[in-house]
Amino acid sequence: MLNLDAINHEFPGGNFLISKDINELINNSTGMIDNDSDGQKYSHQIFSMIALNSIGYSLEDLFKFLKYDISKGPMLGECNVIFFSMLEIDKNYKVSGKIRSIEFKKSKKIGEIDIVKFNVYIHEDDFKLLSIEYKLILPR
Amino acid sequence: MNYKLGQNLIEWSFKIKQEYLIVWSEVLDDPNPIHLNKNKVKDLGLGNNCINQGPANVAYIINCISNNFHKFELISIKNKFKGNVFSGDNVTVTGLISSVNNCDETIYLTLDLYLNTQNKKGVVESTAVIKIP
Repeated sequence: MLNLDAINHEFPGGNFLISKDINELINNSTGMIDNDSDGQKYSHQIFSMIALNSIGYSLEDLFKFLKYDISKGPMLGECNVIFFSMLEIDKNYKVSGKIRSIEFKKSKKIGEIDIVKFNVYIHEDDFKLLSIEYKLILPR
Repeated sequence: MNYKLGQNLIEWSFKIKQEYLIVWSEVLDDPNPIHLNKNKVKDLGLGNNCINQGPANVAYIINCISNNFHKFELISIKNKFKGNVFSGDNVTVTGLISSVNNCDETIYLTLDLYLNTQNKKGVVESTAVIKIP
């Protein structure tokens, strides 16, 4: 049984810096040919999702907090990102987030599952730059 | 440049190597064994090889957009994960323009995009809105 007290829980939050090296690593590991003619000012847009590593919990911590055994193989169901700005290389950003809901469902494919929805936000000072909605599928 | 409703995007392709899954597990600080241990994937009945990380799959979709539109701003992207991409898979991203809006001389395009493997089409289905400056 998941920790239902996790609903509305706000993540501790953290900071997020995209170095040129980590941007190149991600570009290389995804086959991205960088065509940023502005001297690599902007990072790969997928750092919007990578910011999940800076919510103040590791993924392992997050699943522990949810009281979920990660060895059962959690999966990503949906992810929706809204960009109010592009993320720049070598700039420090703040990351925050909140667990919105936990639902139980029976899946035809994988049996009984819990669905956890949470939001992550990336800020610069007081300005929200990105909003990311996650939907995790947790097989029981 | 003219954009047409239903216009197909240039297909983008990539081969997934296990070394990339290791990079993503480290970058995401993600200890989920399905990305690193193919025996765990077999035990769970999910397949026969390590499962690629979801964000990496979305990165391929974005790369297809970048490959088609050299100057663009990503406004939003919605992604539904319908299946798994495995280590060793050959993926392609296909897509088309599903809406064109011209607002104050700025063009906004909606793109329907699909990540496919050699075994399954539409492993990830995405809808992206981009701004063409």
